[in-house]
Amino acid sequence: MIRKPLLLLLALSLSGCLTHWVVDTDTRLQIDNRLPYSVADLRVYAPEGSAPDIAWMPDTLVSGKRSSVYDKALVGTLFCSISTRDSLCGQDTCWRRQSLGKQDLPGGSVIWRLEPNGSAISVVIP
Amino acid sequence: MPEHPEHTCFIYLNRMTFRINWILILILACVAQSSAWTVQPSALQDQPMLTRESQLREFDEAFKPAFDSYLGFGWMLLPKPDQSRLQGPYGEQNGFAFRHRFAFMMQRNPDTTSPIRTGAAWWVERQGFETEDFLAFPNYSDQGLVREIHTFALLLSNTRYDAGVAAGLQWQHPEHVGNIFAPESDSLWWFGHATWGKLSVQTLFHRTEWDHIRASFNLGSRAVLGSDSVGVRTYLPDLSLVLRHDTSNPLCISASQNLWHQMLYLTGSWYPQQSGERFASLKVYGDGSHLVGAEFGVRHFHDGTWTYGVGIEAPFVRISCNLPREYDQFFKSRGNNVLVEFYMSIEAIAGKSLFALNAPRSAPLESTPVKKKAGSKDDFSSPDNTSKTKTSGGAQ
Repeated sequence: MIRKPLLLLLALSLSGCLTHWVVDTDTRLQIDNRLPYSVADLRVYAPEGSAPDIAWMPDTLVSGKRSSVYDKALVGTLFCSISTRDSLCGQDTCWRRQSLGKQDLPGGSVIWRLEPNGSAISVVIP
Repeated sequence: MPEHPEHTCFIYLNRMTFRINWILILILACVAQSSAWTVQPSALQDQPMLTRESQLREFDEAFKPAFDSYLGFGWMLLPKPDQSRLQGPYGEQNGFAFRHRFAFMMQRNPDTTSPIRTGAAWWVERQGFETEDFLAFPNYSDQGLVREIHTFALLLSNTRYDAGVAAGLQWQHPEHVGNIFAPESDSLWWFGHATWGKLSVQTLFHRTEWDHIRASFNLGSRAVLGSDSVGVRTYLPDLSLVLRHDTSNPLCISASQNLWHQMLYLTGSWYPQQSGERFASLKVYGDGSHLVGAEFGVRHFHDGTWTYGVGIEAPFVRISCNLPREYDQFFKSRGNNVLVEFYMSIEAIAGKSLFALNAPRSAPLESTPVKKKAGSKDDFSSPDNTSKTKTSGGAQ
């Protein structure tokens, strides 16, 4: 009977938590720093300051390094920011917060390649 | 038109399973082309008021002295996680807006010789937004909101006078409020309800502050309550009037009009004080029990825009695509989004009838043998067949 598998399929489509078999509700993110300076401390932030920042990646990456993979239960289009070390500053503690703008985090494994784009940073998904 | 069609219950069920296959195909088609709808945090915060009112409306429809029990549940989940994105402080976040509800009402005669009945009712809804979908145990994430809304009531009715009273509590309980939402606290409301014949009145209070009053006039005759199943009286309208303390939206007028044999209805709601916000639906049902039906709806918003939607419902599943009433029930959802709900809503008079909420007639409960028509091919007693047997006998 074809009706039984169809009904089973219907039941599966209704039982929500089973969508975890096919849907990622986490993003596993890795950063490849192709900038000529160091970056650190990736965060998700609220531009209006209405909610506390969510710290994602504590790593400090010197130029040309890749980060470890960090997992966060966040999927969507979110505002991200990163700390950059100003090369003109000349001191180790001279970090500046820089926004990466609204980034698409589609869930699953994602790698970001950070590349210079004038004074801004562009995020390239290879 | 006979009250119950001549087909058997078996055929009725068989048709339903056939329909379910079509429903499945519809789900897949709709899900494939559904677009995103963004949940606003304000819609999540405004929802409880509308939910409490809809629970009381359902209770009003379910509680009649003659009815024995009501069972309803709904398990709404969106098939795709990017279908209900939350417009949060960090941007748009994927997740699952959810609405799980359960309703139960029961009435019994403590003394079988007396017409006095007692009973109890419990409506509960768990609603909110969560980053991961679930069946019973939420993730309680920082971006999640899980809330429970209960309506409890004790019932007392008299079938001889067709009158009943009920009193109860409404309890709103925030189970989990993520740090991106405004904090919420537990709240209690209390209500009184009275029904007599075709008229029912209910009113809700928060402490000493009046919240709203609803008056319903169910003029259309219902066979399940012992009235006519055909005739002029079935074409009388059902009217309801809600007066709210909320000054921004103080009045709502609803009407439901039978257009054809209590199987085709036109329903509408009108908010006269809210720049004429209104919506209307055309509903077609499979029979008078209203268990299987389809709906086409249109809504005019107070900002001047219009939306259209369609929906189908059957025992165990309900699908709606942009139906106007979902805007009130499901976090102001609008746009081309598909909601699938594992769903049931059945009212019963023990041993006699089974029907959907507010339905006029019972579903066919007993299988009746289909009468063979005289002269049909299977009828061996017809003269045509007898003559055939005779000729074949003669050939041998």
